[in-house]
This record gives sequence, C-alpha cells and structure tokens, in this order.
Amino acid sequence: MFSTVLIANRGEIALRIARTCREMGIRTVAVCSTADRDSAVTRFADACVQIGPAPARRSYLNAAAIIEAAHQTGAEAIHPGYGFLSEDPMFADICQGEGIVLVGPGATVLERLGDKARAREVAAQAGLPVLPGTTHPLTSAQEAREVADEIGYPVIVKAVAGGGGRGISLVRDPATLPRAYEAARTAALATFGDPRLYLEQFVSSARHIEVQVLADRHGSVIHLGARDCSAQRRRQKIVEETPPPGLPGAVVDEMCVAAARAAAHADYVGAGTLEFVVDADNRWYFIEANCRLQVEHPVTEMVTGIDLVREQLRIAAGEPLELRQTDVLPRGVAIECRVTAEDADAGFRPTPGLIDEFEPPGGPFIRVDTHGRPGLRISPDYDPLLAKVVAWAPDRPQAIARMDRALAEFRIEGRGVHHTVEFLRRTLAQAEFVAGQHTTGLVERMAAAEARRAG
Amino acid sequence: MSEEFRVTEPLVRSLCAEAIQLLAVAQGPVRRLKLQAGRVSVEIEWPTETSLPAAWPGDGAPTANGKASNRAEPTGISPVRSGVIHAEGGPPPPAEDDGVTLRSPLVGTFYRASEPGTRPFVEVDDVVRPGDQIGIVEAMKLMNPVEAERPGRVRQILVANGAAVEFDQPLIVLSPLDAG
Repeated sequence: MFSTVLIANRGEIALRIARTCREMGIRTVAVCSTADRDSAVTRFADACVQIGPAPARRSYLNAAAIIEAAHQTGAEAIHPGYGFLSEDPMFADICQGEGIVLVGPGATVLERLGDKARAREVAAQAGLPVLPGTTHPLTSAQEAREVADEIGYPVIVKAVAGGGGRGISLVRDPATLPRAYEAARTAALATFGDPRLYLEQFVSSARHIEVQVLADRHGSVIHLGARDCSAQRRRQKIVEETPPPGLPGAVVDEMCVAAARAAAHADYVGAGTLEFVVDADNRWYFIEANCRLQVEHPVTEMVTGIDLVREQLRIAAGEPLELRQTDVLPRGVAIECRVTAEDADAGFRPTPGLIDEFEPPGGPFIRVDTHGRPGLRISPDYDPLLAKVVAWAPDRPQAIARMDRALAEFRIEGRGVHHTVEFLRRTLAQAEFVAGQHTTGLVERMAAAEARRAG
Repeated sequence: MSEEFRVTEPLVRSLCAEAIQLLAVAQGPVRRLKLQAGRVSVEIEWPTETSLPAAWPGDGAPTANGKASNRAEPTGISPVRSGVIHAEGGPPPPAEDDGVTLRSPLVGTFYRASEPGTRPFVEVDDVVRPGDQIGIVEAMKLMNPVEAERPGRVRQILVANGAAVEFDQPLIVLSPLDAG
C-alpha cells in the first residue's frame, strides 16, 4: 500500500478522499490554489502544497504543478477525484512516465472510453445495447442530416469530448439541425477543445440509471448495483438514489451483470460507472462510461457498506479485490441531495460569497460530505457544489422523510450566499418523485407548474 | 474579468484629483502613490523611518495599527502597514517594512545559479535592475527564470539553493531603490 498519496482535487471530494487515506494509515498531501489556501482538506491533510492561483487551468488542471508537488512530498500515488484531470489521458501518461501511480484505469482506457463516440463502439462490441446513432464522430453537417433522417427525430447531438451532461443539444426537427450542428461544434471547441460531435436517438420519458463497477488488476470485475440519477436540472444531477425505484429487479440485475461484463471486456481497472438511459418500456441503452469516482458514489457506499475510495486505493496498489460478487448485498435505500451555492429563484445563478454560518444536519443514518464551514469563501472559480447530504433508511418513504428532516435542519448563511436546500425539498415532495416514477424532465415540469401557479 | 478603460482627459483629471486628496489625508510623508483604474488598485507607500516604530522587543515585524505604538488614533489614511494596500481582495501581505518580495511563479525547485557550481545570480547587497534574473524555478525539467521587476538592493535571500518551493512562496526580499 502507498505510504503517501497526493489528492489532486479540492472541495468536498478532496476531504472525503483524505479521510479514507487517514483511516488506512496513508500520509496525505493536499494541493491547493491560493483561493483554497485555508480550505477543509488543507487543514486535514498531513502536508499541503500551494500549486497556483485560483483559476483551475493554473492550479487543479496544472499537471506540471501537481507532479512537482508529488515529487516534492514523496507521494507515490495521486488520487484525482472527479472532474479536473481525473479522466485526462495525457495526465495519466505523464504520471506513468514520472513513476507515479494515478488512481484510475490508465491512459489507454481513458482515451478509449473518454471519446464518447468511441465508447459507444466499445460498449456495442461488449454486447451492450446502444441507442441508434453514430459510433464515430460526424464528418459533416450533411452526414448529420443523413443519420438523423435514418434514425428519426428528435435526435441528440453530443460532443465527443463531452460528458457529465455537458455538450448536449436536442434537435427536434430537420429544419433546425444545420444551425444546431454548427452551434454545437463551436460550443464543443470552446468548452472541451474538441469540436467533434456524434449523434444519438433521443429517448423521451427517459430515466438515467448507472451501474457502479469495481475491477482489479487481476481480472476480477464486480458490480455494486445501480443508481437512479434521473432528477436533473439542465442535465446536471441534483438528487441520486439507490436502488432505482420502480424498475423491476430483473431489469436492474440484467443491466448490472452486463455492465460488469462490458467493463471486463474493456480491460477496465478501478472504480467506474456505466451510464444507461431507460425508456418508458424499461428498455435500456448504454450512453457513456465514467472512468472515475462519481459525485454520487456515497449512496452506493451507504447501502453496501463498501468504501469505494478504499477499494480504489487497494486496486491502484495492485491488490486483488477482497470482495466477490456474492459478497455485495445492498440493503435499504440511500438518497443523496446535492446542495449548491446557487439562487434557485434567480435562474440558479451561482452565488459566490463568504459563509458566516454553516450547520450541516446529523442524526441517524445521515452522512454529509462537505468542505463548508463558517468563514469559507465560495469562489466563483469553481463549481458551486457546497455539500452532499445522504440519507439511508430501510425503505424509500422513510429515506425521503429522513432526507427532508435533514435538509430542514441545514443552516447556511452568508451575505449574498444562496443555496438550493429549499429547492431540493420541493423536488423531493413532487408527486412523481414520491411515486418513484420521475424521469429526466422532472425539474422542468416542476418549474413549469410553478410558473403556471405564479402566472 | 477586467474592464476596458479608455484613457480620457476626464479620467486622468479625476485620478489626479483623487491622488491629491489621498496625499492630503495620508499621515506623514508619502514615498509613493499609485492609482490604477482597470481591476482597481490603490497603493500607498511610506518610508520606514517616519511611519512605523522600529521592531518592538519581542515582536516580529511591526504591525502597528495604533495599539502598539501609543499614538493617538489617526484620522484619514494612516500607515497601518507600510508597503502596499491592494484593493483586489485576497489575504493581505505579511506585515513588513518597505521590502519588496519576489515570489515563486510556480511550484518547483529554486536554484540560485544558472548551473551547479556557477556563481549565483545575486547575493545580499547586490543591486538589481528591472529584468535582472535573480533565480530559477525548475518544474518538470523546465527552467523558469525569476526576475526583478523594480530596481532594488538584495536584502534577504529566503530560500536555499535546491529547495522546493510552492506557488507564490517568497524567495527574495529587495529594498527598493528609486529609479534613476
């Protein structure tokens, strides 16, 4: 096992990773920008290196600075968390060249699965159903039109280098396709540095279901069940849960087994997630693979009792999985709500500012992953996720009630600082959510209903 | 995001008027005053001898804000901390006298000479001009020069040759010299 691990991330996830390292007796090195100098992980870690100014491209995306910090502190491994460099094949290559273990599947797999179009091809070869569409990047607007005509509208245009709900545009009819294609190319180039696009059939009334897998370097691959992440706002997840409500157990099992098999086929190593879209007839299709720890991993941990970061570190250190598939016995229901520093009444505008009061909830079967504290300055340079509140209960109604109780207790105050706690409570109270029948249009429908009531 | 300021006569006149105001309310003779419009920035520098008491016994650098010095609470702008007062936000620089600190532009290893065995770029008491190299920070085998931005005399070298440095870590303190 590593004696020193550098955590190349910030905020709640950096602290979360550091805590597991501490439990394993691993010395922790945090890196920080000048904006995060006094953050939760820098106070917790055994050592800290300031690597750059606030902008991510000069700090958390600065591979050279991170590698230097690793060498300076003797870190044998780097845990990249999620986002930032966690799925960057070039960074994975650099780490390997520098003799540093990067926690994750390695450059080859990252390249193959990070290209979202190519990932569809890999998935198809591994026997997973994929939506009609292209498995290679579109070569022209003309080709886009031909493919769209063939598979039928509406279609979704997606960035090859995208992922995480970004770089996606819905095209409802042929007339809007040419402009949407050009706009999507421009946006993809600006956001991801890669203008290439691919096309997929659109599934209405879709549920977003994903499967957590673990794979070691010795050929063992297991799944840890599925999560439902259908509650989204503008394709960003806001509430996640496990097990997926209202989906027949047989369908979930089928998806999980297929996902594990596909991960093995792709030579995956580490913790990974395969995302699927499920239509109104419970037909499921692969959409993308995430080669890193996911934000919502705590719900899986709560029902399985498995520490995913611990498993990641063991796998990265070359140890075999101790768990067999038959050891994975999820129990109960876990729900996570993402509390963000955004103004839900003003278009979810991010509200950077200084937090004066911060009192997260607690009590039975409540977990809060956060870097928040009084005195925290929320920076506009990073995404506004402030805290993840996770509730476990033996069944779903109790879990929802427990989550509502916990959210109601959560105090976050600061001049100019807004947060989404009340919005999340309203979301949980929606009839379709309570019934476990919500799809990815939930938040839009909620907003439309509120607008009608107000108007 | 920075704003574009068109330099107009009214703007220049306004800045001059502000400067005169500030000089009037500032306590003691001001050595240097800088006003800037884009990204804001107000810098006021006082010479050490008349502004702050010498280091108090048992103290670190003088941090006089009226309490330690027994002076009457000053009105207007007083030299709470000689050196620069930035309007940008972010933590204030450590209390120091008029020394100018050169900081590491990146995380890496600090070298005082261009090669092992050669003479260091600077030693204490050397005079440097803007653009003079004072050291190197190496990261991933790339050598990044660190240069003086203003004329000065090397007062203190804070980091040993070959030591690891963080981003923004103080490397060298200069005593500023007037240009020309």
